Amino acid sequence: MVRRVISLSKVIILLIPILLLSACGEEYCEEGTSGMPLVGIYALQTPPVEAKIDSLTVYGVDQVNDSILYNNVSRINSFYTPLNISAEEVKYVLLYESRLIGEPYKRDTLTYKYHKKLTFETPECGASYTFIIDEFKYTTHSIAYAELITPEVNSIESQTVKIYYVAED
Amino acid sequence: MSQKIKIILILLVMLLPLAVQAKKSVIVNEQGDTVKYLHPKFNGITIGADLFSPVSNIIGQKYGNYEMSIDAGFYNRFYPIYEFGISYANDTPDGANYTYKVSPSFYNRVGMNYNILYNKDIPGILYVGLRYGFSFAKYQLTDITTSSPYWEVTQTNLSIPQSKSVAHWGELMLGLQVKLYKGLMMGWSVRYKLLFADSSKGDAKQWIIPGYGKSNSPLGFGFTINYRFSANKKTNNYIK
Repeated sequence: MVRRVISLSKVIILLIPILLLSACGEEYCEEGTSGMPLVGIYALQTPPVEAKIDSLTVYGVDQVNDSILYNNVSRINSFYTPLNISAEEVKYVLLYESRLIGEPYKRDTLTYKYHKKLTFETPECGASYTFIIDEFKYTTHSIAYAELITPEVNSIESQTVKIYYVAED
Repeated sequence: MSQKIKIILILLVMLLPLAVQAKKSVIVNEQGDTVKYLHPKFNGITIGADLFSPVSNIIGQKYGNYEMSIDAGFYNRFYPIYEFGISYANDTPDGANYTYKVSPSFYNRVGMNYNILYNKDIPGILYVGLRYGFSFAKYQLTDITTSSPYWEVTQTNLSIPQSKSVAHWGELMLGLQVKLYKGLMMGWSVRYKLLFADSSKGDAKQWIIPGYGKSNSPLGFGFTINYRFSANKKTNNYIK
């Protein structure tokens, strides 16, 4: 009987690590995603409140195929402005498509000057660039005011820039 | 209370009845005197090697801890132990945009195994253990590919320069060793690891830590082969 118990325990010894090994699992993101400045839209009042633009088109200046990032999107309250990993400056044009807005208030431009570094935070999200914005500029055709909240862009969840408009009554 | 501390407490509570049961045995020696321990004060020295990591490497694991251990047994109850090894990594996870490399690095663990069945006359031990581990590592990331989809730009063959780090951690473990033939023993263990700190700074955080494994995986497994050089052949006591 004792021998049987010992034999059984030997079998268990051999099997348990195999079972445990087969239970190991790993999850990974599909690829590294570099941080993208998220721009929030606000109404200029005290205190500022989130606002929505009726219809907005956003595109990058000198994008090789003139691709539009957001095409006449209605009631938008935030949008991403991805930076170019092969450049140190990008410009985005904000085109207000509403018929109620005429020239010269039809468009604004956001300009980012930045440098970058490769970083590795977690194995799931991989290696990606963290951008540090050195200079942020904007035009004030329709934008009343804009501010850079944080110069380091390492997340896609928090707003990097806030732009303020005078709210319509 | 953190999840890790909860798990440790649950494990300790689960093991408590075993320890209590072990204490209930009454040991009587040949002269009829009641004694505390069935086994002699010094049980001998055990040298062991871990086979789990080498076997895992054969079936595809891209990092390894090549490890040996030495322990000394007292009353078949307390087994202070020193574990040491060399670790390396060269891992490109599926779907990842990088290769993570660790240069061969040395690591150490010190601790104690406590044999729950110390007063049983059985050919093996069932133990809980504690460890304190520390290691030094040099690591780097290579073959990085990243892109700006909107700007239609991709960069390849990037790298993050080598970083250095010191890490230390604790482990709570449960294991079993069974005698196969004479002093030859085989066993397995499960470890729950808690990383206290690692000094990685700069652009790359440490992921695969020598002696610890992957920083995002708190469980570790061991499959060991050991040889015990016993100090005594037999016990002269009896269990009632």
